[in-house]
Amino acid sequence: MKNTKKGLFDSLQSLPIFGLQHQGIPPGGGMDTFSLQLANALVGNDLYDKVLEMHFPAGVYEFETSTLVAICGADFSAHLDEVPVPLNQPIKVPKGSVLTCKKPVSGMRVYVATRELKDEQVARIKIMPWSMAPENVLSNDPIRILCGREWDHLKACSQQTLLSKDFAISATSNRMGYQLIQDPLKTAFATPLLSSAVTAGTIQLLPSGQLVVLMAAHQTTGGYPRVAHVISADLPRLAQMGPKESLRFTLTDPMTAEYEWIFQQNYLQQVRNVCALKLSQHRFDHH
Amino acid sequence: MKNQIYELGDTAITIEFGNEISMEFHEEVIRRFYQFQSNPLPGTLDLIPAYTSLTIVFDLGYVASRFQGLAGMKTLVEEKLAEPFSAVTPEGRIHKIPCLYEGPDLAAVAVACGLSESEIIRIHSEKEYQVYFLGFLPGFAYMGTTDERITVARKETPVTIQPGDIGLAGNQTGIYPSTSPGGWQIIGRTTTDLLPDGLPLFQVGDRVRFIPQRS
Repeated sequence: MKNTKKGLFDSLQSLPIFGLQHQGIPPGGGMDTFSLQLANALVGNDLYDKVLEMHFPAGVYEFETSTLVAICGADFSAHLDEVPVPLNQPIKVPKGSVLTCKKPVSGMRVYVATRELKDEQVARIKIMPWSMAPENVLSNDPIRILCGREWDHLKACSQQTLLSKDFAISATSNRMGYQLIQDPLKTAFATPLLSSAVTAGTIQLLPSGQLVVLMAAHQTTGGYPRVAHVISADLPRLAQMGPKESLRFTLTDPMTAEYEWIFQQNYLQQVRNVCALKLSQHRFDHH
Repeated sequence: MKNQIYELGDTAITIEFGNEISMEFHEEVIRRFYQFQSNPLPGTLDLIPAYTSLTIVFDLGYVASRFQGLAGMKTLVEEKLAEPFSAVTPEGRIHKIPCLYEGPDLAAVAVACGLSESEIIRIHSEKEYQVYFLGFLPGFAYMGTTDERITVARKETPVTIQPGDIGLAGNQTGIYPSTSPGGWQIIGRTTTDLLPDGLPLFQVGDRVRFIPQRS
């Protein structure tokens, strides 16, 4: 794909790359790793392959060869050659086709996975007759959290607030972290902490009483109280929320966190297997 | 203090060896870092040392499907901590960093500490600092501890800091490897590249001396 018009914040992203955090190098990676992997699965790529992550306004891209493409995550009203195309469905695209995103309908980040069709000349845009609906995997329920080491730093009334009130997402939120807007939470005691490791999903309590949820591009260590952690399985959903939206938290337990993660990973693996099979059959039918 | 072992979200376990910055806890962190690195627990993705803690990041899917999740890993961590050390802890390197003490905050630091600028320079460059751990930015080393006479608070509002800037915060000192907002008091700068070939110059366990330069 050739970029013909730059987007606000386009980048190639893969799954996080671990192993260098002791050098202060964060794992990074895509924000909504579920959509990133789903896009890969739909075109038969490896789940961890790099895909294009775009925010709105998104860039314009021209395909340089016949390509199989899948668009997942945010609905930015994606068009191929000025024709609207669906999300979560593999599409065969001829050389010279142009991908544009018209308007932000829902979600914050769109993921575009591509696979070059080396032994096939695609003559026109062809939407493959199968789609995967991730709605049954991603719900609109409150974001599930686990208590953090410094959960007790919050006064009981503020713990209640955290688990019952709406939090708005600040406009300053980015790939590093989401700042949440609420009446300042109250701390029970203010023991200064020594910096230690943090992870994606760590919810830090700032001295101002506001919360920050660390996201994909977080730093490796931090010194603010870690009052809670968003479970890994709910980070993709949070990554699709943006400014002007509000969210709620609910407590869950480690068993649920693990179960939900495995459920998502199994779903992605199944989609990949099914798509690989269908793609091979489809090719067979037309030759 | 007995080791505290706790879960950090659903992907990591942190072992806390103490609650204050000290050489004793630092050496324990380093030894354990090399112990877990030379003979990693299954599913280990990252080992993150800090002042008094070591965090092990796990592949959630792997440990959840094969080892009863983090709860199971916690037991394995406890078992490993009970084992005698077998890993060789490398001798840290000593870095001599030329430093031009002309930072924008040098005068303010001198006033805050009730010392002259040249005394700040002398006290800061007299001591050899320990690299406790790397964090915050790629290659940013948390070093200490500084002499208590030059202990200063962070700035209230972070400003943009340039690569090579040398700062103070509390009883810590550090060098910014890249441009970043930061709240540390900048007293000097170095031309030494802290990310040669993109990789951090300092490693946890190294020691650093600042060598005053004339402009």
